[in-house]
Amino acid sequence: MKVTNCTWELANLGRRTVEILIEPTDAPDPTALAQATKGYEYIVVKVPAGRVDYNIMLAKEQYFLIETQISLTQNISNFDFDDRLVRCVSRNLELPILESDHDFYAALEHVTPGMFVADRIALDPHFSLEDSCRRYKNWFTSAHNDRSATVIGYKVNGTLVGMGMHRLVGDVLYGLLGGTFADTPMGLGLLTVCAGQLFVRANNLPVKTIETNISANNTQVAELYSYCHYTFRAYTQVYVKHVTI
Amino acid sequence: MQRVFETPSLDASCSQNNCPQWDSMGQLNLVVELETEFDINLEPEEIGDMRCFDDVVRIVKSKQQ
Repeated sequence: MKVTNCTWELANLGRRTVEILIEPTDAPDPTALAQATKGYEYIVVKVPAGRVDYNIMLAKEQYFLIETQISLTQNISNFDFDDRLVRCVSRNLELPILESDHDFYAALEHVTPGMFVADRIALDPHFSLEDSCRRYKNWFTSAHNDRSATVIGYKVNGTLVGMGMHRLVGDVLYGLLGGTFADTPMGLGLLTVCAGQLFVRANNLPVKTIETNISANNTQVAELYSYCHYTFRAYTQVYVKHVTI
Repeated sequence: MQRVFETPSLDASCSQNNCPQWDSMGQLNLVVELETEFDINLEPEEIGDMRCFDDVVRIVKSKQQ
């Protein structure tokens, strides 16, 4: 198993956090798990779908399933730019890179509690929508500051309706985060799904594949990705445990 | 709207609150159908205002004037 001390989550969530990634050759070992997670207040364990042995062990150890992550991929040549819904949301659309501090922080102000409601933080009764919002804002800010990802705005008719970020590695565009603002009309959420493809085309980038992850808790977004012909490649079950120290 | 939401019946009480098919995808399909059927272009604000049957009727009528 791979153990990551998520130091950044202390600022995001106020908890000492560890993430355990279960790898294919791992076997359930409650003692090793307890050792690896000792001293942490928020423990996240990611288990590939189908590992019922781990599901049983984690339930016994009082972990609970908070979400299933779905890994999605799409060969961009399969994306239908002429689809009628895609054409509808891309009408009068601009996808500016939010490069300057001024543009970035102006956009970030629109990220409010309620923009992200289906992630494992927003849905966890031990956390709140405010915690989820802070976590995403910090993630955006970190990426903006160290330029580890490209942050873009979704602008319709000159009005910013959402923002997202991606990273280009070789010919793969990794969609890291995206969403429309809480007060954006329902339906424009499709922008989150196709912003990558539209950005690639607008900027003539040498991208062959788009990859991203979503939560199965967000059934409406999953439906949108399905509509846009993404391939659902892998499923990861995410278990969590809160420990009072 | 009945065709978009694939529901056997639909009346004036239909809204996002009581029609499960009127989700994000449903809203977008409705917009495209209305634009095609009535030869109109809906602005984002108008799309956001369409939350029930009466809203749809009001907005489409206003676009046709």
